Amino acid sequence: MPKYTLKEAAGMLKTDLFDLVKIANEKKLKPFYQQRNVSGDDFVYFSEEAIRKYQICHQPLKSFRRYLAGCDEEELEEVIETMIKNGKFKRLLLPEFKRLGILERLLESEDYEELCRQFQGHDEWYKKITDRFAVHEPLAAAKFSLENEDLLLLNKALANLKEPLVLIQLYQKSTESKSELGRYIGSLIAEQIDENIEELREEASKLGIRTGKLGRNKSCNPSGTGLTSQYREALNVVKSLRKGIEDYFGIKLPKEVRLSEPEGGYASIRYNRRNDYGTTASTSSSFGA
Amino acid sequence: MELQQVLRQVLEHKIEQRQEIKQQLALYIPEDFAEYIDIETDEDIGLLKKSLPFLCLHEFSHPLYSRGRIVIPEPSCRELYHNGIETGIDKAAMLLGPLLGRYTHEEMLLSHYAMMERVFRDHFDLKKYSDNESSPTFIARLYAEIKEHREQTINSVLKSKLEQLLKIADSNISSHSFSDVVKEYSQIYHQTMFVQ
Repeated sequence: MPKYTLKEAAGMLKTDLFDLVKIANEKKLKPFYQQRNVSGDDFVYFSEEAIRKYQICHQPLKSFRRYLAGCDEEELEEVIETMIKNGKFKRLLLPEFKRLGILERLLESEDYEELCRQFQGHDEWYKKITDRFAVHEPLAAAKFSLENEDLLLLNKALANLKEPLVLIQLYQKSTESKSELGRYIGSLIAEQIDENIEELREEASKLGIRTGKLGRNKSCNPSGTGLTSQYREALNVVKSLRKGIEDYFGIKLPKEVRLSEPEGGYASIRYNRRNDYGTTASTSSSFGA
Repeated sequence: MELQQVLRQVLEHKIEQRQEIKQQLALYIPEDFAEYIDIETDEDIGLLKKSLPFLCLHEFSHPLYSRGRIVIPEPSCRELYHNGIETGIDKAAMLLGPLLGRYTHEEMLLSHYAMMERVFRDHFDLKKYSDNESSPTFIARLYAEIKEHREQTINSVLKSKLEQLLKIADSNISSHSFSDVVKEYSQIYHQTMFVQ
């Protein structure tokens, strides 16, 4: 059986000796063999299996991802097997997972208990599952141990991923993977232009969840509300139309196109009531002739 | 049961927060815009977006009219005056979109429809205004315009939507003189024009 010295193992795991010793002391990486030579120095050897297990089950996510990126499909299959064997299946990341179509295979098998066991706390995968929530209710029921009435509520919240706050609460109860949860919630938030981002961020923050960057949705404005961005868009329409009219007719419209004499003319007919299009009461005095 | 309570609390909390957001938004919206936009429901945002070109051009037409750039025929009597002039202002808005090269005529028809959809919802579905508040001439004005637009559109979907609005109005109107008022407003609509 191949064995590796401390230095060799550190090279394989792309870590320094100090960290490796620390890891070894934490018993995440068990020495395969240890002996002391005549001069009193320790010689530590690790088995290939132990190193691989550490890589797959304990290595920090970032370097683990790098490791996975270098794996071919056969190696990935091996990684998955190791994960399953060690109950660390949830560490497998979505890109790799997609490459192998594992989720599809598992969902097709409809082995909900196994799915729940394997996916417990893995938010990115869970998102994939909730996408199919309507047809996989037993999965959610098993995951959250929910009764029918709760399921209806949850279904409402999750069916279109419209209620991230509910998700946050539920995840708080059911997951330990905070950073992944944060990314997940962040991606949900980014998808929801019409939701208030700050509100969700704050809520997430109160629960100790970091939502991180919002990712792909660049249109979410920094003020945190998609709704506000719609207002800005609308304001631009107003400004642009005003300019168009001024240019076309060669006139300057009043800075505030608003009625200066509310008692005058037909505007008084509109007194204290909605405007003609029901937009708001205050319009009763706006833009009068 | 405990989870259920948590879910309910979260949902209630979210509703409260949405109200707060609306209030904050009201402060955030620039003043010249906030005056004539109001969020009543989230659904209104979509309608608002669609109807904005018509709404804005309608409001901008008022100062153009007061400066003599728009000719609107005088309504025949005081009772018909306000909505008669507004009919002309509506027509001016419909003309302005293509005139400025900003919107096609069909886009203006769609924009006007979006506004009417909201007005009809508030008037007839939600019954937000009592009969006393709801002016018959206001409805007659809308009726006249919708009828015109139904004839003008080349979009069959829009045509049937406009027909639907007319049916709603028909089933809610009882006044004998209604058709005469509609007729007068139709004439005003036809005869309104810009002058150089």
